[in-house]
Amino acid sequence: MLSANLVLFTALAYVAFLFGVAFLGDLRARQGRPGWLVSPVIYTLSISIYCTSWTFYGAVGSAARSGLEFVTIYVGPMLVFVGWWVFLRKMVRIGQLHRITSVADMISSRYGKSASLAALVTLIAVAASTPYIALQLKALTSTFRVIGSSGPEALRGIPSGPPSTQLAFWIAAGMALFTILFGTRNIDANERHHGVVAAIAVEAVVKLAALLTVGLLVVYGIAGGPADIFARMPEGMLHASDAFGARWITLTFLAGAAVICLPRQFQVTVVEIGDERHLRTAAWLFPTYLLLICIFILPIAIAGLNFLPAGANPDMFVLTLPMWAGQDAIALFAFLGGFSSATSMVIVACIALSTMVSNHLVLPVALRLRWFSLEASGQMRRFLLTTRRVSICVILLLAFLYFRLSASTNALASIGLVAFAGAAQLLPSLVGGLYWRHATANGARAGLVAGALLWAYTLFLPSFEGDLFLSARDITEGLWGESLLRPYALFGLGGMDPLVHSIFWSLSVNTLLFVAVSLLREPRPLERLQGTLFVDVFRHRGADTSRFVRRSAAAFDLNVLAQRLIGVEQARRFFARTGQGGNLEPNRPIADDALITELERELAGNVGAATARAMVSQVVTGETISLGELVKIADESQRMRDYSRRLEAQSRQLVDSARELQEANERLRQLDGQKDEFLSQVSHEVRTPMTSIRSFSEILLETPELAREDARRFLRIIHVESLRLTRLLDGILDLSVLERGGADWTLKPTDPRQVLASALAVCEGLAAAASVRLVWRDAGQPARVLADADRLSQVFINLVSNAIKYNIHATFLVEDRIEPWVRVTSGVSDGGYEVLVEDNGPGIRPEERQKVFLKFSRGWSHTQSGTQGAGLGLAISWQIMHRLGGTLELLDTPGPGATFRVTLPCTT
Amino acid sequence: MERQPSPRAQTLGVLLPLLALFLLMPPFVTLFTADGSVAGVPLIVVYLFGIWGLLLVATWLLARVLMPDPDGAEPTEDSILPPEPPAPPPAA
Repeated sequence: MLSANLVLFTALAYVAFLFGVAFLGDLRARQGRPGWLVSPVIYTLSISIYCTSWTFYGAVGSAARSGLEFVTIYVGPMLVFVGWWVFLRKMVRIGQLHRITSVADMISSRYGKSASLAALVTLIAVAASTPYIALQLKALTSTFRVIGSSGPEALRGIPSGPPSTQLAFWIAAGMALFTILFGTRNIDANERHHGVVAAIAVEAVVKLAALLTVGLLVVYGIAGGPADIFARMPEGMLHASDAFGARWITLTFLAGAAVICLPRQFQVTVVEIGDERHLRTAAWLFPTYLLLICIFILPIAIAGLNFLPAGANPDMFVLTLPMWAGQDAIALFAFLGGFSSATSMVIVACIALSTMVSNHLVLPVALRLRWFSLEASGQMRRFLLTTRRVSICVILLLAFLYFRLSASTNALASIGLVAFAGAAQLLPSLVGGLYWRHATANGARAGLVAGALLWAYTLFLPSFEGDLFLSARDITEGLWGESLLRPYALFGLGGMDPLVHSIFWSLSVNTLLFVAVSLLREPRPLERLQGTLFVDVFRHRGADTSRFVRRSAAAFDLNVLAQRLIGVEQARRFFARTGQGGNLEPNRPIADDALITELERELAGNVGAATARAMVSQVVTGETISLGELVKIADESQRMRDYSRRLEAQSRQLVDSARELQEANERLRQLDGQKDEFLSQVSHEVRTPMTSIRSFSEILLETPELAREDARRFLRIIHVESLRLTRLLDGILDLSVLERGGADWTLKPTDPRQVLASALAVCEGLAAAASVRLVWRDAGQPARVLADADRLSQVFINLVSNAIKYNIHATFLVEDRIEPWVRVTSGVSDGGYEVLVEDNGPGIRPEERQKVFLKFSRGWSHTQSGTQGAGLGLAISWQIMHRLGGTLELLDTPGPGATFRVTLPCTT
Repeated sequence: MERQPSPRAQTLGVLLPLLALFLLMPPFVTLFTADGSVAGVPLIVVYLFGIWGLLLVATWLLARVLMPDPDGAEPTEDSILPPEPPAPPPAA
């Protein structure tokens, strides 16, 4: 016989070993060398926490009492995993893409990230899991007492003495400690717990090995092989003829639902999966594990019924048989196996439940409280971690209370089935949401509430046998004595197995309301969006919703929020990755939709999609979902429309380019025409002096006996014409340089009066020679302009000499000998320096006034003289003034004479 | 790039669990509740666990077809650290 102390010591040593494994696992994970931690085998072993102490001990009990029924509990999950391609794959893909952190997160995320739905699912999950955890506590305390006791009574497997609450309490406390230490060390961005996964993988191996060892002992040690053991099978033990009825189907269905919906199963299957490809291995490896677990259940049950005292507790056969056979080591091994199966379940369940409680119950409420604010970065994470630790303690406390309250006569299996039935209420919303786009949050809520209430009334509360809410009388006769409300025969549907009865009512009402309420109203835009993203997850490559949701937020606010929630380091990495710099000033750029959505996704990895959305919406302004876009995403022809629109845009671009080319061509043709015109004008101008030069040169050459004076005269003409030609060519060059803007002038502040004075000095001689009176009136104000002195002088000289030249001839012809004068007036007016050049000559005819500044124009052609200019002077002067930033105009004055006005802006 | 398995494989992926359901649920399964035994083990037990084993093998084979290894390469180990920001270029 084993002493209690030895057992205790072994258990503690084993726990220490598990601590070590978990620590190593976490260490490797943090170093970034996960290695074997993320192999598909580890993944599969972690899923095997499905096999709890219910499996380890209760399956044999169920086999002994009800024959083959126990198989259903494993056939269900086997079917789900064999059908991995149909359902599990979709769930895993969605979980990865949308960074789902729990089953509540997935349901709420599907239905428009509804926080209320997440809270509801969390409550149901906690209520359903509490009995299950209590079941583990019960198994642990019972087995510990059984194995530590001695004497023939021990073999009955019924612990003597009062139930040891103290032992249960310490076990619960120990598990709380382990979970807190390894499950809430940090908030991983993906909610993964590598250390814990490593530890439960080890436990999975231990429990399988233990059960196989006991099985081998029974079949080959105690009995003489498979044939022998089955020959000892009591008559009718298998209940084969009536095993395959409604209960068989219900239990299989329930077990399948449980492997999907139980929070701990969801955690290991969907949240902790590293690579989707691991599912491919788990699809056959997990059912293999289940097969190995089950293969010796029947033999052990048979052996127990045969060899152990009558009335022995069949739930304890796995432990008491080795004890009876004198195999203490194997008994101890079996105890460790059972210990493993219980602790691994509790740890993962607590982690999953505490995550849901902190993300979906505590955090949303805390956010709403105005006095609650966490400004410093990192405080949010500490708050979340603390919340989770407290939740773990509370959950274990609740389980402990259930353990105290629940009747000790309940078989392990039946408690477990109550929990399964509770978890199954999540199935319609979960599965329906993944395949039916029209499912709405209201439908899910209605179904969940109704299903949960019915489950509670028909199964959960009656399991207390009158100690909670429902009295014993209520249970047998119905609430308020109303026979239609009997928990085990609701609405008159009696004569059914209580479990089947409960499942029937709760799930059918659940599903019915889910469908009916969903159809009542159109889904809200976000629901529809999420619905499409979930249902069509294999069609859309990403979870990018930014195409459909238009939101704006200041990038700075987003940065602050990110730092609060995921810490400075991760926030910095996030913003660096998305190309937005780190330190952003307030009121700086507006973040675009893609960034907001990406941040929401990043946060969702920590706190769940619903909470992430709630938090981001605190800093987001103006959110609209384009319904038009939403409708289109389901439409296959959208792609066609996009393509044709692109083609349209391209062709429009082509038309525009063609038009631009045409315009450019036009302009080039114009310029070409202008060039031709210019060339013809120039050649005409050049021809005139060239003709004179040629003719006079010919005369000189052909008449050698010309008089000296004539010769001299002719040569002089040739000279003058050459000069004129040179002047013309210089003028053309000058003008072209001016027009092209290629002149490099130095603009300096100049005194225009000085420039004018020097220009007039140059013209004095000309005026005297032509007997024209030159008058200068200056207003006397000092002024400075920004100009090139030489060029400005050139303009003044040009204007004044024009006035002189064309004035002489006029007065020559006029009879009454008016004295020709040229008057120059200068002064400052309107912030500009102004010079007026007037003459009393013949003036410029009205029809010529428009063209006077053009090249080669002859405003004075009617004056006719031999000393005509080339016609470029005014054009050049106009260009010069234009370049200096001033103006040159011909004023529209009546009466004889022309008035030209030059203006230049003054500089201070 | 994800290579979609052939439609036939996908159909099998759906059919296999349905077949399993058919084989293991009443009424079909009740065919094997008759008295009988195989090597001393009751018929129904052999049937249940036998079908279970066959389904395992079928799933294993089908899984290899439905989600093949990418061109023979080993599936890469999942990195659990977020990607490091790109290292700054070495100073010139």
